[in-house]
Order: sequence, then structure tokens, then C-alpha cells
Amino acid sequence: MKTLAELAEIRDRMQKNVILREGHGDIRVIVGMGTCGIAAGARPVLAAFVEGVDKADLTGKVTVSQTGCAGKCQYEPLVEVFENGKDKVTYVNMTPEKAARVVEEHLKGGKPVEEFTIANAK
Amino acid sequence: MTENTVKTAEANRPLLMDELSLHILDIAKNSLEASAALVEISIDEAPERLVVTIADDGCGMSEEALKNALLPGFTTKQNGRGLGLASIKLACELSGGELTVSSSNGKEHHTLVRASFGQNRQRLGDIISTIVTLVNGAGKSDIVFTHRLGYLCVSFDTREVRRVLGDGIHPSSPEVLGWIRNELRTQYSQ
Repeated sequence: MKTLAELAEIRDRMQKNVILREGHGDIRVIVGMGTCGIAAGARPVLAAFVEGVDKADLTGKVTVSQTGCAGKCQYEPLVEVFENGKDKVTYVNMTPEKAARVVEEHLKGGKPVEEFTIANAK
Repeated sequence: MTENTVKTAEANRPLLMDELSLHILDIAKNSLEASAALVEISIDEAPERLVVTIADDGCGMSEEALKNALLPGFTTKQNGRGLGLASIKLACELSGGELTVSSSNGKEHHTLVRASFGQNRQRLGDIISTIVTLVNGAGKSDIVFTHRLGYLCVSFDTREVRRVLGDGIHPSSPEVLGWIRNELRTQYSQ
């Protein structure tokens, strides 16, 4: 690998920030990455969340991970957001553009983007 | 064995993905779900043929599961639909290649998927995003990736990443995933 020195710099920066991060509430973003999810476009949706969380400086507060098929294949790409003390929010038919709005309005702003949720799915 | 299911014909039609790298993501996720500690993905690419191998040291497959693995609709996963292997098999065969799966759940505990694609194959597509997505979902498992294309050889190994990061920082952190994306871009632009 060519740029391991840069990785060491990232590590040092992250270690300094660990203390600042404690005490934040945890938000978990779970992207469906089963076969149907992948075929429907889950990979760029995950990438948009990972990049958005990093750019919005939410890495201490939000984790982005994956799950397999949830059995709601017609709604893929499907994304669930879990937050302590709050109801789960399920986003359906996601795109990278919608993910960017969820990062901004929901993960950062605290207000779910109702129009993308399963309750409002066509 | 009793939990193995074969779904109805309508639900189990194999689907072609837009890019070969999406099929690779899908199949390598099987390895992670089979509790592999190490998943090794290699691509050997030439104009006339592209060969992908995905090897893991996961729980392996029973003889019966192996026999049925390529049937659309066959799955051993609780929520699975049995489409992944059937779909990549279709992509292989439509391009003039073939798919083979070997596995043992005896002492060795490993599964090897070898997919060869001929000249009429789809494009490989965004393989960097496939690797980044796999590392995000890998948990404690390690991913080793090699791509040979003419004089170019791209290689990536999460064990090396872990050695630099030490304990406490996971390779799936967004900052580290961003680095992986840049590292692979750097290697591909050599």
C-alpha cells in the first residue's frame, strides 16, 4: 500500500478526538446490503452516508453499518435509523441524494425526513 | 437442513447487476455472513477473460448445500432469497465464462467461488466502492484484495490497516474508509 503514512496521521487525529466524543448520544444508520439491496443501489447509498457523516463531523455520534435482506425487497435500498429513546425511522427507495438530506436534516438536525419514510411510500 | 427453503418461481428469478463489482460485493458478503475471519478476493483481468476468485475460511457448506448452491431460490439464510450465486452464474454464462463453487465443512472450513467472464462481460464498474463497502461491513473479519491487469497490480489488506490503526480505531470508521478509497484510487492511477 502506498499511503500508509497518511493513515497514521488520520489515526493520530482520531485518537486526539476520542475524549471529546464521549457523552454523545448514539445514532445507528443501518443500510440493507442483501442481494436485492445491492441490485437496487444500496452501495452508493452507503457511500453517501459514510461520506456525509464524515463531512458533517458526526463520526463520534453516528455509526453507519449494514444488514442483509429485510424481506421488503420492493422498498430497497432500505435504510433504518436507530436512536436511543426514539422510534426507529425506516427510509425506503433511497438514493445518494436522499441520503445527503437525511444526514443534514435528520442526523445533524434531529428531524426525520418524513417524505422518504416507509409510512409515505407509494 | 430443515431451514433450507426454495422460494416460488416468481421470487427466484436471478437478476443481473449493472456491474461485475456488484456481483463481487454480493458474493463476498456471503463469506462475511459465514463467519469468515479472512476473505480473499482476487481479480485477474485481461481483454479476453476476467477471473474473480473469492476464498474464505468461513463455516463452509454441507454436501447438500453445495449441491444446491447454484439453484435460484435455494438458501440456508433465514431471510435469504437464494439469488446471489444464481445471479453471478447467469452473468458468467451470458459472457461466455463459467462459475464454480467448492467448499468443505470438514477440517478446512473454507469456500472458494471462482467466476470467469468472457469477452461479452459487463464492465467491472466501481470496484473501489465494493471494497470500501465490504470493509464497512466486515466487523472483525479481514479483507485481502488483489487486482492484476496487465502491468498494474493493486493490492489491499485490512490486516496492514489494523497494524497501523492499533486497538480502539476500527477500519470501518468513516475517516478510515475515506482513506481506503483514496489509497485504492492512488494505486489505480499508477
